[in-house]
Amino acid sequence: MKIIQKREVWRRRTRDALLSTVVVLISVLVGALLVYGIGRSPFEAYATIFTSTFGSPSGFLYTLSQSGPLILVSLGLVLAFKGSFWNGGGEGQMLLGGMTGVMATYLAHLNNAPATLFVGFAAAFFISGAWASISGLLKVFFGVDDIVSTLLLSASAAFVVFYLVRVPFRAPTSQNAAVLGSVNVPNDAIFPSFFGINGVFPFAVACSVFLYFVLTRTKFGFKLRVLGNNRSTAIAYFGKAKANRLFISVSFLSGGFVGMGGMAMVSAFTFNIIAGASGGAYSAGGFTNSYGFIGIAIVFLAGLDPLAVIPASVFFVALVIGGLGLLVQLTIPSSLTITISGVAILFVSARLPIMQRLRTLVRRR
Amino acid sequence: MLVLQVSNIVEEGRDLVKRFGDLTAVDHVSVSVRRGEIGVLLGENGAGKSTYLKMLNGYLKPNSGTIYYEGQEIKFGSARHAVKKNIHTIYQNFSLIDLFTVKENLSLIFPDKSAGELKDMINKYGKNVDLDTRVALLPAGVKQRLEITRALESDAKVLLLDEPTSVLAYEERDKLFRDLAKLGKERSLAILITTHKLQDVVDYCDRVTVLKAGRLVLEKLVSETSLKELAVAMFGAAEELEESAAVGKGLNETDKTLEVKGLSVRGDNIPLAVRNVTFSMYRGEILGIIGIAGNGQLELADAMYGLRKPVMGEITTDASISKMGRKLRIARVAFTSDDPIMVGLAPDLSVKDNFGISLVDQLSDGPFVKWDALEQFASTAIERFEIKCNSQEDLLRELSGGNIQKVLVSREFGRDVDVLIAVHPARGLDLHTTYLVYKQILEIKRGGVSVLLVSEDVDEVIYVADRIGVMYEGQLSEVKPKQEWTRQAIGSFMVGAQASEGAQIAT
Amino acid sequence: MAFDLGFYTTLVGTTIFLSAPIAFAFLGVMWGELSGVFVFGIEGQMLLGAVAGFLGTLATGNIAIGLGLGLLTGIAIGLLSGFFEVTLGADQIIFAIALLVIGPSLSSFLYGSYLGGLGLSAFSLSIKTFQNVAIPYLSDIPLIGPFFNQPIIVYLMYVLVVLTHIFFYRTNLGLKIRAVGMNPLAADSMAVNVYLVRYLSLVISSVLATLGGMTMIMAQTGFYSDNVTAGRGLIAIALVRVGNWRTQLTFAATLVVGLLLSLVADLQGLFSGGGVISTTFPYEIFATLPYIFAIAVIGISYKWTRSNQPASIGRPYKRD
Repeated sequence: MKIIQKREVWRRRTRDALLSTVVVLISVLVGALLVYGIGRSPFEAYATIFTSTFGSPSGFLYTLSQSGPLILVSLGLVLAFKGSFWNGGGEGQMLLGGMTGVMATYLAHLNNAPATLFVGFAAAFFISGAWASISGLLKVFFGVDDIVSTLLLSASAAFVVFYLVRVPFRAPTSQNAAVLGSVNVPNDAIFPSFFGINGVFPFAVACSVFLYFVLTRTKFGFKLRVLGNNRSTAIAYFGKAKANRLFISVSFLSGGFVGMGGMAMVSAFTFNIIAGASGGAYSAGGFTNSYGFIGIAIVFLAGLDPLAVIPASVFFVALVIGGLGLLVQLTIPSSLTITISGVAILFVSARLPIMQRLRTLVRRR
Repeated sequence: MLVLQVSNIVEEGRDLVKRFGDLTAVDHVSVSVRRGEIGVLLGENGAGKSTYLKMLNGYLKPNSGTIYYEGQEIKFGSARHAVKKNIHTIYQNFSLIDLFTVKENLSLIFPDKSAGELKDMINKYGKNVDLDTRVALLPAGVKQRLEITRALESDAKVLLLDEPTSVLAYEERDKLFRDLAKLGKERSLAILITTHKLQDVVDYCDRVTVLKAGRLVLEKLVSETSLKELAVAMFGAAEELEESAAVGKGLNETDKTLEVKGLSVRGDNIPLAVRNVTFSMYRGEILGIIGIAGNGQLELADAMYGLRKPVMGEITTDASISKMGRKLRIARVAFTSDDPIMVGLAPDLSVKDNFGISLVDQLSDGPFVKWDALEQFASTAIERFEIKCNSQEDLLRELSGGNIQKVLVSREFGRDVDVLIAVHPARGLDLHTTYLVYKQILEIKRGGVSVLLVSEDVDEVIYVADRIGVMYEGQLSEVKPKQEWTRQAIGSFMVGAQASEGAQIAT
Repeated sequence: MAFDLGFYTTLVGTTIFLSAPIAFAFLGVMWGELSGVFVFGIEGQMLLGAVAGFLGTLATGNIAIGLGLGLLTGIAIGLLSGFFEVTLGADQIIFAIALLVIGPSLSSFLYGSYLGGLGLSAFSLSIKTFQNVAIPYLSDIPLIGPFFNQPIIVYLMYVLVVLTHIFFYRTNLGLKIRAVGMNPLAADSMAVNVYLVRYLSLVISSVLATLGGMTMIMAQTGFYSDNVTAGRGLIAIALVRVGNWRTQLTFAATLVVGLLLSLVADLQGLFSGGGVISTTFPYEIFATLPYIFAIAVIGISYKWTRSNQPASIGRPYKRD
């Protein structure tokens, strides 16, 4: 039985992975068409992306490092969707987490790297988690749709952060009203690198393994999965109160991991938060690189598996970073690669209907 | 006799067969719908009446057999095709938009009529209904009348009604049939209804066709048959109940596990699904509650497990299960619902995971799940109930319907509890597995568990239960030991004919 | 303090002016959602319409062609939405997120490529915007005068708001669309073609969204910049919920938001000495108000009043 079980699991996993790869290929194809459409060579474009991200050992390591924050954000979203919490507020939660990290480490004055890092990440986790759990509470007690409240709150979070950057935590040297920068994090809040890879990557991988463990081996993870799959069943066999508490916990944890992604971004790469004064609602001045949304694509392409999130994140981060390379080297706008991610999300939205049709086609044979 | 007779048959289904996978829902049945007559398809749930109706109105396509309309053979492409042919159907859950007003609904159906014309239309068929009321606020009888109005104004020639009385109060029922009779004669309508209520047939209908398990058992003019004959046709002859493997125990007050007093529970479409029900359950016995679907048993079971809050009355438990509230109740009561995919299982999780749903608290070591123990439980259950799956890692939704049912049943039956509430546990199972399930229930009973079996199948309840109660329209009959019932008496209670048929025959 | 008519007039004028794109957006949301489809991705459509209109005008020098291109974009996206959401039955939420990502990124890509092709830098291109057209007599009436001293496209907005209201609540076609949103099964039984109705609504919704995006550029800034719509689409979604899916309330709420926006603009002007950054007043709160208010309204209406939310929203319709 055991052997048959393992085989069954792998068969299903390969089938899902195949489908996801097809989606990614189609998106890449659309990207190629776009490049061709503006009169440039898709080969050139993709070659540039590849070389800047994987072409050299240092580039490769840098790409891996950069995937750290994205992995953390995606893990938060895995938790959310596994528990049926439609978290569309990843952008705001990430931004809030990053800002909280800046503020906490700036105010802590600890002069001790591990302690400061801990404070920063913990603060980001709790504040973003609390923010997301507002949506959880609203859904449980007031029936407010989680996708609606997370999106709206995410926009509000952006404004809160703008205020924080503009007034209490503005860098003294930052005077340009269009692009304001916050104070930098203290030196001991900068995540150290090891052997060329920034520590956020192994940290994110560790979180991924941890979540995998929680979801598959603990009672909590199990009940979460049941809740996410069939709320009525969860209510019937866990009790309504427990089911509601579980849902709110999911929202909190989800926001927490996404927030840590924001802190990771600050601690390893940006060192501060720059807020555009245009009042952009859900994508704030480029800090998040749309990770809050790209994470959704990753999560579904990875089949909601915390481990599979790692390679998927590396791939998408390569696109994002490679996109920057495009701009510098070929003067093709970097937004191309985010568009490709968007197209991936587009096809993800249709994955269930398409799979059903494929299944009936196969059955007819 | 009269040779020349103008046929008054408007629509006819000849030798119709309908299969769903392995299940034959309708097995070579011929029914005709005649002008100026109220015909009725009578039978228990699952007898095939609704399915047959849905073939007559184009919603389903028969696997074999022919449908004739006004003498011509016809094949319906869709339900709308039938509507175009003036065959109108009124379903139990109405096809009106609840949140819209009457006027808005009618404007959608009759876009060419003005507000004044709509008002005239309403008044023609009944007392004044304010056009600007929201449909959701209207009583069921009025909604039904609106649907009938709609059908008539669309020049219906055939009117099919699916279980029209199931949502009506007693007075409304009377009005419905009087209206149908009057309109039927005025407009030469051919009317066919389906019902499981014997009383409806006897009081109001002209011609009855009894279906049992998809087959036609009897077809007569109502004037030429009797309640008794119909009951026998539906349920089988009045016989003494055979000795079954279940033997009722003597009932001891100290063995009482649950006591239900004056319980009333709200329904989804009707105000009260359960009305003032009182009974007790004891250790080591099986209490069977039988009734035709829609008479409140499901709501009763839900309320007993705690899924529905009663409007009135109380459920008290013995000291060991009682006031600890929900958490302990969940731990000590097992529940198999009648719709496993909706309540009880998680379709996208693996079979193994599904077994864990109600066991995870017992089979865990602190915060960690004891997967080995769970796998062990699962393999035992899979073996015992012969569940067909490739492995425990299969997704539940990949299993066939019967096997899905088996997962739920085997899981709940395997729990260590004080009370088991089993609702249609053998639904969708083949004969062999059904007896497996019954054997298991008897085992569980012998272990001292208090079992509540909610069923729609008279045979099942007779075979398994120690005491039996019948539910009809939310009310529970007297709960008596099995030996004090006859099959016919049970059947009569199920269709609400108990008053006329008198007392049961005691052994 | 004496009532400053000049200040008032400017304020009202600016309010309406700034409300216009949001009004187009909320109309777009209503058309989509009343037929039962989530349109959370509307921000994406606004941006794509804006960039299409902008580049079209730049390339040809003709603002009408720019408008036409933007409208075409709207139709295209509407049809795409219909294909994915109605024909395929895709998950509407994820589809909306896809639009939210593709909108800004694709428009940024197109704009950037255009600039790159010409070797220019951002902000160096602009178009001539619509000028105000004052309606005689009406624009001279005190107090409500500013309503009638607006660019043409704002008058179009008035007309569309009124037409939408009349359409949905007084015509049979509007009734059909709302029926589909409330109960597609019942509507189907009333011989309404659910699929066609939803396709139509999505196309119109999309066109309105692109109009909103174009208004921001062609009537307001004259520039295109990345993410120029700055959350207007999301605000529109919030406003429709605040207005409980009815045109009048939603329009009123839109004007309130417009007022807030013009106050913020004024504040920025007031502190022009040290620039906006020198004021410690948390004016960002005003920006969050529409969102918070929307959430509060949804939450309260769940408990106390009946929501007009189309009951079938978010669920694809499959006739089996």
